[in-house]
Amino acid sequence: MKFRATLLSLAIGTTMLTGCADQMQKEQAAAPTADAVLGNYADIALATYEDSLTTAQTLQSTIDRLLANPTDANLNAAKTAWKAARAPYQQSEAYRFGNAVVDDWEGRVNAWPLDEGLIDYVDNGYGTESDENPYYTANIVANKTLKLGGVTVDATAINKKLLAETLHEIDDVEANVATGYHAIEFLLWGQDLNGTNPGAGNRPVTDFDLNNCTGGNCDRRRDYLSAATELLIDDLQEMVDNWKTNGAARTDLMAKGPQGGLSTMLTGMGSLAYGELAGERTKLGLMLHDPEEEHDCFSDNTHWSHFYDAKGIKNVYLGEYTRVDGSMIKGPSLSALVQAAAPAVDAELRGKLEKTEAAMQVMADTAEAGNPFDVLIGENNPEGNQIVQNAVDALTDETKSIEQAIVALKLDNIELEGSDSLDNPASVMAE
Amino acid sequence: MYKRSVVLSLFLPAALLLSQSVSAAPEAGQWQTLNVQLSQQHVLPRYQSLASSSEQLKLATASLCQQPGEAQLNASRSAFHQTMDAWQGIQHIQFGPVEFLMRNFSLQFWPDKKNLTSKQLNALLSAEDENSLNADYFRGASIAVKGLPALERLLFSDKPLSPYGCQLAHAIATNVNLMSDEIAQEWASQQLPRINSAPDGSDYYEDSIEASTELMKALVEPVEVIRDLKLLRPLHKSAQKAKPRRSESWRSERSLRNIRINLAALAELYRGSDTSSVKALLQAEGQGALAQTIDSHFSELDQQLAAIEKPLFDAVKDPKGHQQLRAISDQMKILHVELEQAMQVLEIQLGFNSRDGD
Repeated sequence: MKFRATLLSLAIGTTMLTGCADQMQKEQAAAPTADAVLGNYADIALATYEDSLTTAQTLQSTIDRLLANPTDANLNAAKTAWKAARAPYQQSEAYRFGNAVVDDWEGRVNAWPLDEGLIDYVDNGYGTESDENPYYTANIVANKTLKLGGVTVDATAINKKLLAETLHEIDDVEANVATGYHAIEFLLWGQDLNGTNPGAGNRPVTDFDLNNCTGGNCDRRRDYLSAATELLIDDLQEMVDNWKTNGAARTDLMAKGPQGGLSTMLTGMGSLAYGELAGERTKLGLMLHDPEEEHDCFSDNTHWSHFYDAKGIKNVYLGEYTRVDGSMIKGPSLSALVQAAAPAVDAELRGKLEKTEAAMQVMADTAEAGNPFDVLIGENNPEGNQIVQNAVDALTDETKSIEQAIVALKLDNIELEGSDSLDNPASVMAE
Repeated sequence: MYKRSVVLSLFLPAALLLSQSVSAAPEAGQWQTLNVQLSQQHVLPRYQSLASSSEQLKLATASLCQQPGEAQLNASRSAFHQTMDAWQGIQHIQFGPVEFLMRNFSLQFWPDKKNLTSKQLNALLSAEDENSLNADYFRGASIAVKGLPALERLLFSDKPLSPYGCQLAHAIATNVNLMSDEIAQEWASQQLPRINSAPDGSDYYEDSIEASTELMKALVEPVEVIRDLKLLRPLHKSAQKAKPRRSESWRSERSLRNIRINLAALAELYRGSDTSSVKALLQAEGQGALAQTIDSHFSELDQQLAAIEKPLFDAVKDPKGHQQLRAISDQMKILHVELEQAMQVLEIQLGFNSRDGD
C-alpha cells in the first residue's frame, strides 16, 4: 500500500537530528553560497565523466586483446572491464535530467531498452515482429543491405558512421539502440536465455573467431564491437569536455543563476530516483516478470547499475564523490544549504538516501550470491520480489523528501532555462 | 521538448498569476466538500460501471468458448468495447485501490515498447498449459498478459481463436472482472472512509488537501499523458512518417473513442456538480476568465475530435487528418498549461510524477 508520512519517519528524523546536532550547528554556521555548491556539483560531474572515460579506455584495450586472440580468458577480461566501466558512468546519471546538454547526449551512450535483433542473431522466443519497430529483427551483423518500408540501408561496411548516423534510432524508434554500453554488452554476452532462472548471456567466444566462426559473420561482428567501443570513447570524451571550464554543460548550468542551478540539481535527483529508476527500470520489471526487463539484461549487472544510480543521487546531495582510484572529492553541498534552511528536512533526506543505499546493497548482495535481478523479479518469487519492492519504496520515499527540499529552498516556483516557453505555449509548439 | 516539459511541470512560473489573485487559496473545508462530492459522484460510479461491464465480458467469453461462432464472437467484442469504454472513463484515477497490487497496470499495460504482450502471449498460447488459466496464475502473472490489451489481441485477431486461446481470453476477462470488482468494493469500503476522515488526519491522509492533491493530479497529468502517448507517438513527425501501430487499441479500432472518453471524464472531474467543483473554486479566487477558458477548451477539444473522419490508425497517415490531429495536440498542450496555472492559483503542489525521467 502506498507509503504515507507516519510517526515512524518523523521519529527517524528526530533521532538523526539529535545525533548530529553538534556537527550540524558547525556546518549551519558555514552555509555555503549557491555558487560554491554549483561549482562543486560541476567539478564532481567532470570527475565522474573522466572516470567513465578512463574505465571505457580500459574496456577498449581488453576488447582489442579479445579480437586479437579470441579466448575465454580474454572474453572474461573484457566483461570484467565492461562491468567496471559501469560503476562511474551510472553515478553520472543524476546529472542527466535537468542538464539539457547531458540529456540530449545520453541516448547515444546508455539508451535502453533495446531490440537487440537489430544488431545480431536472436533466439526464436524473441519473435519476428513488433507494433513498435519494423527493424525488430534487422540483424545488421548478418545483412549487408536492408530494405524496409521503401528505404534501403547500405551496411556493407560496419563503422562508426553507420552505427551513429544510420542505425542508431533508425526509423525514429528508440529501441533501435545501435551504440553505447548496452550494444557492447549484447555483443560481449549475447542474449540471456535463462529466463528468470540464474545465469547471464553466454555468447561463445568463437562468435569473434575468424578461424573457427560460430553464429556466422564473425568479421562483421568484430567490426561492430570495435566501432561501438570507439564511439563510446568519443562520446565520453565529448562529455568530459562539456564539464571543463567553459564547457557547454558547465556554462549552461552557471547561466541559470543560483536558484535555477539548484533547481537543476534537485530535478536531476528526483527525476532519476522516481520516474526513471524506481519506475521505468525497477517497478516495471517487477510487474512484467520478464528477464529482459532489467537495465543490464545481458550481463546480469543490473543490481550494480541501480546501486550506483542511487549513489550518484546521494553524491549530488552530499557534494562528494569517491573516484575510481579511491580518492575523494568533497566540497560545498546542497545538503549544507538545506540544513541551513530547514535542518529537519535535511536530516530526513540524508536518512532516506542512506536507507535507499541499504536497500540497494541488499539487492546487490542477493544478486552476487546467485540471484540476480531477473531472478528476483520472477513470477512465484515473493521473497525476491519483496527485495526489489523495498528498493522501489525507498526511492519513492526519498523523492518525497527531495520535494520537501525544493520547497525548503524556495525553489518550487523557480523558472528554469527554457521554461519561458510556458508563458508563450505557441512558441513551444512551433518547435 | 517532451523531456523538457517534465521540468516545467514542477517549476511553473507563478508571477503572472499571483499578481491576479484576489484572495487566499481555498480553505480545507472547501476541498473536503469537493473531495467527497467527486469521490461519490465521479469516481465510485465509474468503477461500478467497470465492474458491471467486465462481468458481462466474462459471461460473453464463457459463451464464446462453449459455443464458438460469429454471433458469440461479436457479443464478446461488443462486451469488450463496453468494458473498454468504462476503463477509459476511469483511467485517469491513479491512486487508491487501483494502485494496490498493481491493478492499474494489470488492467492495461500500454504502451508496450518492448513488444512484451506479443512475446509473452505467444509463449502462453504455444505452451497450452491448463495451469495458466486459473486465478492463482493470474494473481502473479506478468502485467503484459493479464489485462485488456492482451484480451484485445485475442478477440480482434485475424486468425481464428483456438480452443485454448478462447479459454485464455475468458481467463483474462475473469481476471479483469475480479480486479474491477475489488476496486469498486474497496473504494466504497476503504477509500471513501479515508477521504471522509481526512480532515481529522490519519496514517493515510494527513489532511483534506493531501487527498485533493491526488484528485487534482488525476485532472492535470492525464492531459499531458494522453497527448504524449495517444496522439504524439502515433503522429510522430509527419503524415508520411506516422506510426499507426503505436495507437492505443488500434486492433479494435477505438483509438479516438478512447481519447474522447478520457477527456469527457476529465471535463466532468473539472466541472463537478452545482454545489462544488474545481471550476467554482477557481472562480472564487477571482480567476473566472481562466475557469471559463478551461471549460471551453474541454468542449472545443471534443468537437475537434468528433470532426476526425477516419480511425486514428488511418488519420495519422492522411495529410488532412494528420494536420487536424496536430492541432488537437497543440490545443491539449494549452489546456495542460492552463490546468497547471489553475493548480498554482489553488496552491496545489503536484510534485514529481512517475513519468518524470522518461
